[in-house]
Amino acid sequence: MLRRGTEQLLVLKGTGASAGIAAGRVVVRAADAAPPAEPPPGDRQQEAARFAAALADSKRQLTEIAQAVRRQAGEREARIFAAHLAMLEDPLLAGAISAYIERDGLAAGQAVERAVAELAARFLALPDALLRSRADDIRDLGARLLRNLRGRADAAHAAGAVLCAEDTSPSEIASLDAEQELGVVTERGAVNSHAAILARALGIPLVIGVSGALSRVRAGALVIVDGASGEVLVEPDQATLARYAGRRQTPAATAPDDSPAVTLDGFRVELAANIGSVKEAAAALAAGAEAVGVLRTEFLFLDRTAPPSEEEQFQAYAAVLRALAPRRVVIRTADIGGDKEAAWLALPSPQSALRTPHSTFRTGENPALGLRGIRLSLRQEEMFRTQLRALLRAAPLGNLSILLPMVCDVSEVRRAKELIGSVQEDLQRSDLGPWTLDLGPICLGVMVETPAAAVLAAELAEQADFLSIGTNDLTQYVLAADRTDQAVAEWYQPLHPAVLRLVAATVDAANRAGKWAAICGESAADPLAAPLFVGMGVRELSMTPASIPAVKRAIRRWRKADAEVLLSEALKSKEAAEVVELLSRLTAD
Amino acid sequence: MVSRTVTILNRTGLHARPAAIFAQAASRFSSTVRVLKGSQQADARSVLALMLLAAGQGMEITIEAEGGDEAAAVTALAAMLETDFDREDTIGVVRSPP
Repeated sequence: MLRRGTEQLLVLKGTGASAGIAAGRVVVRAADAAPPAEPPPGDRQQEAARFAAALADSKRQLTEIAQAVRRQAGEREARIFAAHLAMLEDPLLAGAISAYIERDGLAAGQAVERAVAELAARFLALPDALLRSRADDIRDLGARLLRNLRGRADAAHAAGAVLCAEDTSPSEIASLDAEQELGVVTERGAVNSHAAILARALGIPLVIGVSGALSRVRAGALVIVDGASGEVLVEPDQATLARYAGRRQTPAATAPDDSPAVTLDGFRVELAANIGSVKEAAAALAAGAEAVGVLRTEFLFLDRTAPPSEEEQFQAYAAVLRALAPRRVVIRTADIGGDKEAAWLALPSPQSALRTPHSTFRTGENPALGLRGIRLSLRQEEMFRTQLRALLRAAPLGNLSILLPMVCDVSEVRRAKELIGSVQEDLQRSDLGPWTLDLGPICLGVMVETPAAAVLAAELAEQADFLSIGTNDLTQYVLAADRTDQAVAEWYQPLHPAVLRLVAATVDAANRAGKWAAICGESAADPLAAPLFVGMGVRELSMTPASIPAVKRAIRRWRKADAEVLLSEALKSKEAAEVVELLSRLTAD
Repeated sequence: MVSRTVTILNRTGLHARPAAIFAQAASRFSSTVRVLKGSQQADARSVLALMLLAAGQGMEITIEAEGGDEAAAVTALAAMLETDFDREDTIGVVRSPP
């Protein structure tokens, strides 16, 4: 303890375990010394059922935490929780607890406490420091099981608070929100504990080893936590606060990584961006995108009272093509209908061609299976021709590919090609400028997002230049799970083997036809799924720009040959959980 | 019952990540698989039991399997331990028996 100069400033010294500055009021979490009374123990069967429920809750929470950590910190850090999941279900933990309940008649809570204490003690007796620290992970799992048994949620913390406790855990660190400027101060802990690793990855300032912190700092006291120096300043004055406020900045963002994503054995995957407006083109470039895998054109058609004119569309497409040239830009024709309704389509319009005579258009009952995508475009031929004219006029300004959404069979692609040919002829005859003379063949892609298109991938690949697999819709159609309906969210599993097998077969069909295959659903942005797509031989992953760096790192860690073996294992799985477990365990730390 | 004694070659021994890979590989076989180190023994499907063996690089352990695919299990799992199967740039995928 030091007192600095004339300021009445108390400075506690510990070890900085995660750099950064946090300032806020202290929230004290005392160790769970006196656990709340358990409900009176039931019979063995009731206690076993209570434990089974707590185990299931814990698994679900850990899976959610792993996903959140993967998004915020990365795959390596998420492995901590994949490893926790494996430990939780281990015969020595879950198995021992069950035995204490069923064989010895202990209450569920007592059984958890005994099994955790015994197991932690066995790890603490090991000679290796790294193995000893697994005792902390086991205690963390035990605390989670007890919280679930007692019906307590993970603690939530107020914004701007500094948590002060005897020790912390990976679960606790993962529950903090780095954007709320929380800091953590503990009396115990190790710089290389999983909790500290996670704090560094999430940018949460952490000072450990502050002896007597709980007795010296009162709840509600204002403190500054300096995770670099390991200092905790108690009740700082305004000048000190101001001085630290200036330093409270996150490390500078790294420059965009423009080098390509290549596996260790030289297989290159193009990383592209999904964008939905002209201004997102800049974000795509800043994130290191090599192309735009999908420009959704719905932004031109929705939230308005009249359809966009050819000129308005031309200006938008031209702006994106110019901004990204010479990179390829895949522009998807309007995927309106479905859950993306354009009000003007159902309104009476002075242009008779745009008046929709089909009552099926507004079937609110099952819009995902309704008149949408290419179906609507082929029905509303004038609207479609207008979009094609704008696209073909803009084509010479950059590197354009056209993508057709919601295709179910070859006839739709043939019809679209006829229309493109017809529009091209019109343009060549009209007097729109010299560039229209240069119209060569347009690169045309087909979205594979219906099970029908996946099954007919070989036939579609013959008709198209590339296949782009939309895993979001494909998942919802294959598993019959509306992706906007929370009630069926657990059935919506992009890594379900039924989906994966269709995706793999589609990619295979494209490769056999000498065409390339891209993935443009949300699973393209999942670093965990990246090796599966590498194994399939996917040539392009297209995702939200922010996800590009993490996926790039994931691809660079793999060899295509290993990814192929992993894929063959994943394709043998019978359920999504098996696939997730396989992916998590193979990368478990 | 089939058994084989091998020397652990991978750098970190049977610590968390390699133990998880090994346990998962072991669970693909229908046979009961045990790992023995000195007087200690572990269920090969238990990550925690494997870690508690504290089996480091260069140590000798014995793999014992009993069941329908015991020979395949011992061959595959022993081969795994005799390679540096948890290197960052590779993955230790053991194919299931045919």
